Amino acid sequence: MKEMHNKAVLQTVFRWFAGAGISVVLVWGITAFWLDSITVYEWNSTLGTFVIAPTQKYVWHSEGWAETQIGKYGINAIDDVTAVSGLKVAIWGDSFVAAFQVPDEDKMAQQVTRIWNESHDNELTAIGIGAMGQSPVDYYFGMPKYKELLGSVVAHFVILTNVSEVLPIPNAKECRFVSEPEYRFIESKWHPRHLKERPAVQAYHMEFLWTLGRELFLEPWRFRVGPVERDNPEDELPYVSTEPMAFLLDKFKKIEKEPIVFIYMPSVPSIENGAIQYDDPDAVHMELFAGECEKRGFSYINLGEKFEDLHRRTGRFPRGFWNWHPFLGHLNAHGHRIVAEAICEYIETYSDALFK
Amino acid sequence: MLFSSKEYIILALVVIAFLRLVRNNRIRKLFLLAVSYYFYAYWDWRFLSLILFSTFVDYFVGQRLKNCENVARRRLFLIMSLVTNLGLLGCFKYFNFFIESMNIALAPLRLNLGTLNIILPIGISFYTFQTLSYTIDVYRRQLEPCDDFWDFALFVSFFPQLVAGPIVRAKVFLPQLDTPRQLSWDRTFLGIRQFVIGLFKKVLVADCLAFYVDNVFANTGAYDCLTTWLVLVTYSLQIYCDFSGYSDMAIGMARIMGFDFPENFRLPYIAKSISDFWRRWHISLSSWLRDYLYISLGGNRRGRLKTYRNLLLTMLLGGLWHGESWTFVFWGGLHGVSLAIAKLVSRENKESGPSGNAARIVTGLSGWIVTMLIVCIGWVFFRSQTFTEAILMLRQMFVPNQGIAWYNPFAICAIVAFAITHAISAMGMQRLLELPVKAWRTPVVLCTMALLTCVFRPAGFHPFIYFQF
Repeated sequence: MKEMHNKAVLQTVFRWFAGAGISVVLVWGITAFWLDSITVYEWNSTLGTFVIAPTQKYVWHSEGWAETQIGKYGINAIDDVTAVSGLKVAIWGDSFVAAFQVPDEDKMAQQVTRIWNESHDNELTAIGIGAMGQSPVDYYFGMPKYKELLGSVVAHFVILTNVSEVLPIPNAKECRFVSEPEYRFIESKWHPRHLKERPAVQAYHMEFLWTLGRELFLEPWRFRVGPVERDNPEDELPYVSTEPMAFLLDKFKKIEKEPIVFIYMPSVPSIENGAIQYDDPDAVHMELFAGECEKRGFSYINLGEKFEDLHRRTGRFPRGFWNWHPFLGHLNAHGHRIVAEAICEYIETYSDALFK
Repeated sequence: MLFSSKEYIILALVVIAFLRLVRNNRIRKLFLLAVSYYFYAYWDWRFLSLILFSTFVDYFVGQRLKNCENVARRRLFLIMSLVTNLGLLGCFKYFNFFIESMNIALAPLRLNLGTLNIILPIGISFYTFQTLSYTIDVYRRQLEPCDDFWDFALFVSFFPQLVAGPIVRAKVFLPQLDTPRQLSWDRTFLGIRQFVIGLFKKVLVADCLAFYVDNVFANTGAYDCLTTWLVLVTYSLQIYCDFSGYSDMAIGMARIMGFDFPENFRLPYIAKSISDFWRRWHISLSSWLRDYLYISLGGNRRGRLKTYRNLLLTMLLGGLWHGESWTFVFWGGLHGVSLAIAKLVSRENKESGPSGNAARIVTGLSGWIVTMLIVCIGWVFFRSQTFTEAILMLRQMFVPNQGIAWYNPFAICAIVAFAITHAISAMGMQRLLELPVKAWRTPVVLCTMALLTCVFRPAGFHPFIYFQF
């Protein structure tokens, strides 16, 4: 009798272990198809910073559905930027330029290259230099480094999505623009965590284990009783004035002789209370920035009207994806196209000066 | 503390370990009481005082009713309990609602009474109904009063069902405290199974659907007809998975600890009539309303018209129980009217009901379609913040328009999967969906559900919808 009971217990234990094992394999298979790739970083001594490791296919499925080929020096969709000949323009930005949400051929840099070269004899290559969470301060420190790498760049385009990007950030910790005790830029000493583990996770598509681990070990635990005071200083918009904007532009003026063009992509059209809104809530503040750009000889392009025009003509939005949100989030292929056309238009207008 | 949080899982493991190690029933119960108070204080310790106050008053009333034979005095004690519990509920939940309604009425006189900044204590609607059921049952002599104060305190605050039900009645729960609960492995398995299924429904289905539903409802009027219909069906699924998921987790957790809670949902979306729907949806509330409100009003014993009036009143108050808004009252009223009409129709059908299989299938199908239409339209009012929003939503649904098309693929997949599982159950083949203890597929399915839930859990804080009630 006891023997039979022991056998039943053993069977149950085995069944659960086997079941758990099979379920891990199942989840592995499912998540390999659905989850976004983990980012693998490597140290780049030429740039003196960590970049996304080249030759990996970076998969993004949570917003849009695309694969990105990472090239050398962490540049998306170009195998080796040092091998690119001819005229070059650099496009600087955050995740909007990294553009993991759209396929390589739809990214703004690749669209600039294509649009330009289809109708011009002088070959031009646009290079998108962007990483998630970056800001103009990162571009400021990055420009001299990439200049050595890329050689001649005829113009730089800096993509901005909101006014806070050109203002000091309170409680700055990393590569940021601070205002206390005085305006200054601080270069990042950022070091990605778990450098050794990331390649294996990516190679074997084990992002699900990574997600579980992050949930368990990185998210804070709380066992004390409530109420909990919630404060989120990052949500606060810093005080808007022209002083820091002027400081930022002066810093750029000192490091770069080639033209720097600021391209602003407002979050319009948007929908509020059920109605389409074409008015940009940041417009007043960005006008201040545009004024400072003009005073210092920087070009400034506001894409608000072009975004509005796209929606009025076609009913399409420059942002949003079928599997995410129809009008919010990152730029979709239409949005990238508008940015690319604006860049080409600028190059066309100033081609004499740029290609001299 | 959310059932879907990692802190709760740790708490649950500690509780299970303690109950396995300690056999003394008294110590077990005191431990469960302490854990229950901690569970509530995790949200806000200050509101423990309300639970304690409610507990003291109802315990006192129960004790007084025990030996009191005087009808007037008995009624006085009952009123004392009702005034205390409903008074607390009224102050914390409905004060601003009534003041705002008064302000609207007084607006022509240019009078404004202002409002107060009151925090709604979590779960107050649930534990108030629970304690009321005790006092009313004792008053009606359907239940012996509880002599042990700590047992009664545990009944009021037992953590698995404290904040969002199911509303467990004293006559179901208190007898289970008399003897040490049996913690067999089979029970533990059944509890874990139900908990995991609930977790999956709440986190993977309801929380992921919330993104779609919230965004569309935030901009009612911007989306096209098909999107609006899709989001309404999605919301129907979201609220079902959210609430039944919570109930499953509560019942599962209680089962692991050796307690039996009644079922709270029984496939409500396969109901063929509105009264059938209410026998399947939030059963603990609908049966509470029936036993303590509808029957108290006279039920169906005083003629047809009064039966309809009682139904309507019960559902109106049931609607108000859900929240301090006229849209909830309207939602309750819609269901009340539908129940009255259904009662009238079924009375006539009894006299000339359908005969033959084909007729029965057609009747069943048309009944299901009408029921779902009423339920879905009801959800429009339930989910909308204002009547303007609800009417706009209905206009988008029924008037073809050129709004934005947004057919969320996850929502479509979830609806299809849900429809298939319900169809299987409706056709009497639910054995296909069952996960028996000894089946080989059971550990695979449960572990996969748990893992997928952890991996695809949406970021951010997602409280249960019914927490606000």
